[in-house]
Amino acid sequence: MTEMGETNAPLLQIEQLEVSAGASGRKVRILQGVDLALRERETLGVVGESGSGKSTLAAALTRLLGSGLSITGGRMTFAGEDILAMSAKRLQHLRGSEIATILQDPLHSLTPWIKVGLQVAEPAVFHEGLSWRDAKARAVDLMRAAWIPEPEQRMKAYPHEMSGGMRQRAAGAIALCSAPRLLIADEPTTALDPTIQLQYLDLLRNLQRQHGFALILITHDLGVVARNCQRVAVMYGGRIIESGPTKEVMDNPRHPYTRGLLASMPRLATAGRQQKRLTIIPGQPPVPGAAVQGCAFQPRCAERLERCATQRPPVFTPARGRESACWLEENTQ
Amino acid sequence: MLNKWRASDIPALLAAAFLVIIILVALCAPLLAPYDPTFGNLTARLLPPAWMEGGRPDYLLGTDHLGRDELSRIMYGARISLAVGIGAVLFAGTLGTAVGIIAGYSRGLADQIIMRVVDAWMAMPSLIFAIFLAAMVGPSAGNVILILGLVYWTRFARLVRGEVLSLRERDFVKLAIVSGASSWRIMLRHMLPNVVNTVLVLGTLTLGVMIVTEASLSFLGVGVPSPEAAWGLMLAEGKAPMMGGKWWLTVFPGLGIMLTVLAASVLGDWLRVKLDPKGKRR
Repeated sequence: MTEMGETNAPLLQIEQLEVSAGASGRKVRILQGVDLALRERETLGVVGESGSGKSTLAAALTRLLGSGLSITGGRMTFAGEDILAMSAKRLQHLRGSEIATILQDPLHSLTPWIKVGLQVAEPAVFHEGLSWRDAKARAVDLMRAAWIPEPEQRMKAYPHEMSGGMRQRAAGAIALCSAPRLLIADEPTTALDPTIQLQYLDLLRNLQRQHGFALILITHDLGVVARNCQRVAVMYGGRIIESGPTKEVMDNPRHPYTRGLLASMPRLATAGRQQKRLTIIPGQPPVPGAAVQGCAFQPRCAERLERCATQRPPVFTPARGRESACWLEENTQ
Repeated sequence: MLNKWRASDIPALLAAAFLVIIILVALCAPLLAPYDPTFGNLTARLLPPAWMEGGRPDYLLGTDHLGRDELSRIMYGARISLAVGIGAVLFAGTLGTAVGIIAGYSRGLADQIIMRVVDAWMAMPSLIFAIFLAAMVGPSAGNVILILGLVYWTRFARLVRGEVLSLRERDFVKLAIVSGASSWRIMLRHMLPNVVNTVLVLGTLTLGVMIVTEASLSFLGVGVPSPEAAWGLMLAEGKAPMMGGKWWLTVFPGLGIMLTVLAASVLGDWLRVKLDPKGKRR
């Protein structure tokens, strides 16, 4: 891999991204102003519970929102290019060749009646105009890199002839076929066995070292983030409420929600640190798109202030590289 | 799937055998038919079948009012019925499948417009619509294929569109989309193979409808023109002699239509059950 010039300009820059559902008359905002920046080769973990908007964010990146959803505000640039201004043709090229996606469900994400090898080779043919011969040769290499044993034989296999883990690895190989600069993995391990999960995340890290893509790992598992990501963004109610370097956020969470999330996660008792009872965050997460006046977390927050119910907290920067959208930060500025 | 025959498969087997025989007869009609179907022997008019009083052994199923051999006409009639029926099914199936896939894949406004057109199309009574079209293009076997295809493609479009709408939500289609496959490729490669079974079943079931409609058009004089030997046309021409007790001129072509349509329906029904991955439903 050639070393790319380390520039300060981020690979992906999202500013105040807003996604809404429904007709213009009765709009419901699913993403309420998301800011995000990702550098070349960086790994970002996006965590949040169901309905926090993390999958919507992933879909919005390549403008593949489900029917009824649309981007209603904000800016998104990829390598300096405005994603929102791209033509349909440009978008089709962007998907797969520059921004690749790995879907959640390995059992169903390969087309049943097309040989796996062809499915892995396809993107190289369509995005780069390679001959089928060259694309197949590349597919064999990719499948080997994705830890698929005997890739020459597997090329000719149909998806039902492979195990779930192997299918997921094949889906990974498809994603990497055209050497993308950004890989979005939306809960890539949720459907896999725990042992396969670890192996698959190792694989992703390994491939990232070899191919040098940036990775957005969407998950609800903080453990996955802790092991794999340099930075983490925590989503709640359609906003990123805290972000920063993973280790710092884990060791010293600033936002009450992140603190609650970490306290509710089981860990092994280590020397000098006694395992406490797991705590739970009381209450329910907000219904996606619910019109929130103040802070979305405020009804469940133990540390809420008076203004939390009425005024939406802006994003504060309590320390270098750290961000938190909470009024508690106001005085630390 | 097909390796174990059950007693319930017997009707389908018989139907398939019958259709194969009809198809062979149709294909080999020039070799098998004892006479030219349009040649009338005026000295042998309105002869009854051979086994009846006054019948002649060289005219096995009798002759019509122009002295044409009924058996030869039935054989050549099979040609027209099958060629028109199968041709119309292929035409309607291709057109309907293409429209259905495009509508289901694009969703949104294009889908709405296409499906409202289909609804309006289906709201027209099919036989009257067919007669109207026939009046516009004029009678000929080729035109009947065109007419039947234009009348019945909407059935295929509606069925395929429904299937494609659910396919659109399947993960393998989503993966093809996120990896930047072109729309045409997704429709042809990732969707079409999954609707082929359904189209095949509907096609077989529609074959019977096509044959009946062709016979109706020919009977009404707007389908295959005289003096060709189409079953519907033979029914029309046998109408007057039938009143005089010459039953064979309507019964044999009628039987031809009935048995062929029945065989196509039985086979189509059997295919529907056999090709359903969820096993026997209904």
